[in-house]
Amino acid sequence: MIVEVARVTARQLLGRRRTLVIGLLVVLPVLLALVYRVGGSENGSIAGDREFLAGLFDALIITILLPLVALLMGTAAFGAEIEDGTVIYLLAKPMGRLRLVLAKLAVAAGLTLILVGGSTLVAGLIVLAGVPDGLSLLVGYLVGVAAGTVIYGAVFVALSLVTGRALIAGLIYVLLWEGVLASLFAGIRVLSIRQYVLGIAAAAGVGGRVTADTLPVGSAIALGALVLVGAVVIAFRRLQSFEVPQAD
Amino acid sequence: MNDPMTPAPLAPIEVRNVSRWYGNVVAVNDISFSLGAGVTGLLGPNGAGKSTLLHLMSGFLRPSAGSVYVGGGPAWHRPELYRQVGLVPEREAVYSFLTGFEFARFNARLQGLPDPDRAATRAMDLVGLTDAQHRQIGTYSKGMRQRAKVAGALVHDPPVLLLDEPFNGMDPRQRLSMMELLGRMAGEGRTILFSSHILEEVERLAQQVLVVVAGRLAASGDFRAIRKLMTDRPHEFTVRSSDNRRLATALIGHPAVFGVELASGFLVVRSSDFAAFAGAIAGIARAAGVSLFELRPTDESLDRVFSYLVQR
Repeated sequence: MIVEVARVTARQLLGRRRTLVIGLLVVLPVLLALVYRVGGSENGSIAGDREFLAGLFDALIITILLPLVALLMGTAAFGAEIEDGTVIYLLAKPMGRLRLVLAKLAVAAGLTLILVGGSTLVAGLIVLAGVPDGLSLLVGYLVGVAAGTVIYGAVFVALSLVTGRALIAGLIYVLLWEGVLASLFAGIRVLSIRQYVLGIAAAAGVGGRVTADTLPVGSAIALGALVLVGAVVIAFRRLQSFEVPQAD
Repeated sequence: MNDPMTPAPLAPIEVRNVSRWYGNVVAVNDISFSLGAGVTGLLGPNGAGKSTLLHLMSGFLRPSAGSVYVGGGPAWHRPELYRQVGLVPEREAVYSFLTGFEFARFNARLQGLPDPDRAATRAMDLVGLTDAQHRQIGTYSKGMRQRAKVAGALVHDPPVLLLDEPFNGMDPRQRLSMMELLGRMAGEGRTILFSSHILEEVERLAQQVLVVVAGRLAASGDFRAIRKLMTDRPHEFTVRSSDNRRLATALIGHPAVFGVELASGFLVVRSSDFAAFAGAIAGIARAAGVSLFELRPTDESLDRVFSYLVQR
């Protein structure tokens, strides 16, 4: 059953026009890596390669690409069906609601991982070719991205079941909360998925902290797990009590 | 002997004092009924509460008051319900990127059927979509899409079928074929409830009828009895003739007429017996030497018929 739900969800998500936009977005890090490799001023310096990749990873992939792709995928996983009414065909089945949430999350996170993880992998390979510990560095980044796809995915799937304006709410979270407020006020970093991703990446092989304000790895994992479980529980509860909008 | 402590078994559909409101708006107001095997038509004008009632029965709305039992258990908060229920929603959207067959198989797999391919083939055959089953639903006509939805709803052979305006968009041939299918399924002992705002659809298919008006159950029971109530209600006609005054004098003497009003250029005639009046007026006019130019019922809209049932 879960496979069937995942298969239909994947076809639905991949058939949307916004997926084309995402496809163009994820090519960006690869293009930047190519430009750097071909004509970058630090070309040839291992420290320069590391620095460039850290910048690409933190400023572009983790700050913009990962949350945006996860937002578009996560909110559409249920949101698209709720919007056009086809969710009834999914819910009018004798299936546990938790299984449905997990199937949708698996597809949203899986597609985000393929797109953003693929982009990170290719960009990393281009920049780190020849760097001595390049592989462990790359693995660290990929683990961070993988953790981010699941945590962001769960939050955005839950958000689409809580509000009909999940995309706007998600954009406010990504751009305002994580992008502006979390960088200004250290206290709210514990409520920023971006910080969990950076903490996990640091522990997984990037070594040290990716940026100066990264959370310690223990806190990052614990808080990330808490947010993940919380979001899944909220999504499950919302789906259990799902009501169709007023029809007449 | 029945144990007096054992509660009576629930009918396939039991609705007990159910109300549903949205803020200050009451969509369904204290409705009770129970349905057994056979086809029941849920009749009412647009906005009467038919879809709300169907959503309450299909577990997609929580009753604000009262209870709904379907297939032996509560309808709300019970996914197991859907083993017993097939639902055809009113909204037209179906997964347009799937073929008709894939959609039926999707439903069969989510029902956990042992042979989804076979169940899907059978369902597509039942709704007459075998020839088009490998085309994407996005390329289907409105009527074909409706049939694909019905195929998805009956793929697991449910004992209860709930259909919200199932004949929307179907041409007369498709409509007839769907009516035959639903009639056949009801004959096999299933409980089928379908909503419609078209009296003729209900008349052709349903043995039982529930009439909902403004969220209330205006009438329920055998369709023929309710149809008779609708036909026997007071009717109003406007009549134009060569001599309205003379025709008025002649008409008032007829037992089926209980009121005639002489208006500017026409008569307003009130009758208690639609069929008797319609059959007699030509003869009355001829006997009075008056030519009839126009005879028009003024209150035949379905809303007026429903309003009459509510007022009774």
